[in-house]
Amino acid sequence: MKRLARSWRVCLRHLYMWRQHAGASLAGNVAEPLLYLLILGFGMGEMMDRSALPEGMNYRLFYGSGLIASVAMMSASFENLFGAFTRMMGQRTYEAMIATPISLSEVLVGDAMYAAIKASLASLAVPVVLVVVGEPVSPMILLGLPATVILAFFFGSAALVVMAHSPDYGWFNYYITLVLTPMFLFSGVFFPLEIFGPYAEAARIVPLSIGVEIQRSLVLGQVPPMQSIILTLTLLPGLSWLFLRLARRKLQQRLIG
Amino acid sequence: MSSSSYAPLSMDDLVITAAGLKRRFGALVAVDGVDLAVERGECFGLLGPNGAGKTSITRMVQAVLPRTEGALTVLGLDPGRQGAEIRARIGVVPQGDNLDPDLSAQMNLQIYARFFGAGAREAEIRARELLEFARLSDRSEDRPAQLSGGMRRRIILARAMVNRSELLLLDEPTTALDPQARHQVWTWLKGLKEDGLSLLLTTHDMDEAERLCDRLLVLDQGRVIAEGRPPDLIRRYAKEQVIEVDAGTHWEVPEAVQCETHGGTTYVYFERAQLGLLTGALTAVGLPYRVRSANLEDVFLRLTGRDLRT
Repeated sequence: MKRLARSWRVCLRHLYMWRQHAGASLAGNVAEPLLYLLILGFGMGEMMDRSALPEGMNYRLFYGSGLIASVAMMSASFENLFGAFTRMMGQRTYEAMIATPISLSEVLVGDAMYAAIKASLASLAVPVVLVVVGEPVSPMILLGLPATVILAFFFGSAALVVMAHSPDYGWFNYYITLVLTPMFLFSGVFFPLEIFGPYAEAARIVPLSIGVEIQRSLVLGQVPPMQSIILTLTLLPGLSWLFLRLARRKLQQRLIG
Repeated sequence: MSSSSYAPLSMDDLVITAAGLKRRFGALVAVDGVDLAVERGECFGLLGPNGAGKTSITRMVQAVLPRTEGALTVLGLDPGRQGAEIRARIGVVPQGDNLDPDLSAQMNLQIYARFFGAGAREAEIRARELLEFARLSDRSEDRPAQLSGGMRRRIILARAMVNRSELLLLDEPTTALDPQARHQVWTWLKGLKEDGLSLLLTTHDMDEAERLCDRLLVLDQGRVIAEGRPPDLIRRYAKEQVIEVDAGTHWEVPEAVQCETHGGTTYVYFERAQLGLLTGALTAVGLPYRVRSANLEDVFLRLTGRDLRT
């Protein structure tokens, strides 16, 4: 087996486990964003002035397209914080897996793959709901799936670094509260980045913003900004690679010595 | 497990060789120049107090911990460059239980087989074979929590055989098992050895080491302090028999015998022929004593000290 094939076996294991309780898991991944979509899109959205929104967009579509990316971020992050930590400490699954031909770095790549798949599926629910409620979603949104996978892989890898350094579950709160939540609030999911004025350009290279920009263009059937595409193909994979290495280094120390 | 797939024994067929093997962690030297040679089909023991370097050696053999210095081969391969190939051919039995708690016994083995590259159908068949081998076919759908400690251990042992391994690395394989389950595991391991498997056994259980090991190393602070067959080591370091005398009363031990006093007890190591002389002397001064055969525990304690280390 080649390296990627070995990582895929790890991912298959996780997918099998997921299937065991997919109902509960999907409910959490889908129900929550749906509630937000209802409250913000249909409730508050009705009160919004549309002049600040891109042409042809109502707030439901604006917020919903941002949600596609943020659901991917949250789902991938939570999976590789709580799920991976449980596998490492409580269940000693990492220990069992590295006693096979699979190496620690291959296990971590498998974890990131799984987070990417699971999170991308969860985020797919958002455009489906938008279509169901009658929003004019462009079929081009399907082209956004690879971008979602890359974004989720990135956040899955970042979460592994945090997980690897965490002494316990409580420690994740630093990352969730100080990194993920601010990113969720300030990456253009809720309001256009133009509001930041001169800082808007800086806000556009925040990882979640990159994903939001892409999905928002595609939902309208437009070609996404070149900058977002390039960053998705370079910055996110590059940082993912770096994060996976950092996570591996820490876990090597922690699990093996 | 069929025995036909294993090559016939040959004295120069070494499954593990190490020469001047070293592992440092910062300033700490965990393994400090260890030489060893494990022959195919033998059970080789690593004994030593906590921190002696046993786990580091096992992890270097498993090719998950790089060595700092020295030479090491496992099944003729270099762990530094051929880790995946080595792990594809060895089985690891960890201390304690690391089965997947959310998976049935069958799926635990099946998914593990997939990690070794087995196809879906092949993995399913292999898992069934192994459950049969572990005599747990009727419990295939149970999760680990529904099984006894002994049954879980059998599954872990079966799991280490999923790849038809040639070498098993065992870390305290019977810790926390009840006596019946321990004996069952020992019988099993002896059977595997007869089938031609090589075993590298790390243990604190001297009874286990004495029963299973053909040869062993005693390690202390990363160095080999004794090596040999258990009966030879006992003969050399603890003679034939031991008298234990509770201290508190002064007793002049004859100079001809070796003795040590630790924790309020004097241990006298002697040849069988000296028994009458010693018991006579003890009876004369009216001291209570116990006589027993020397065992590997005496060797271990004589070599590594009776004081508990952390």
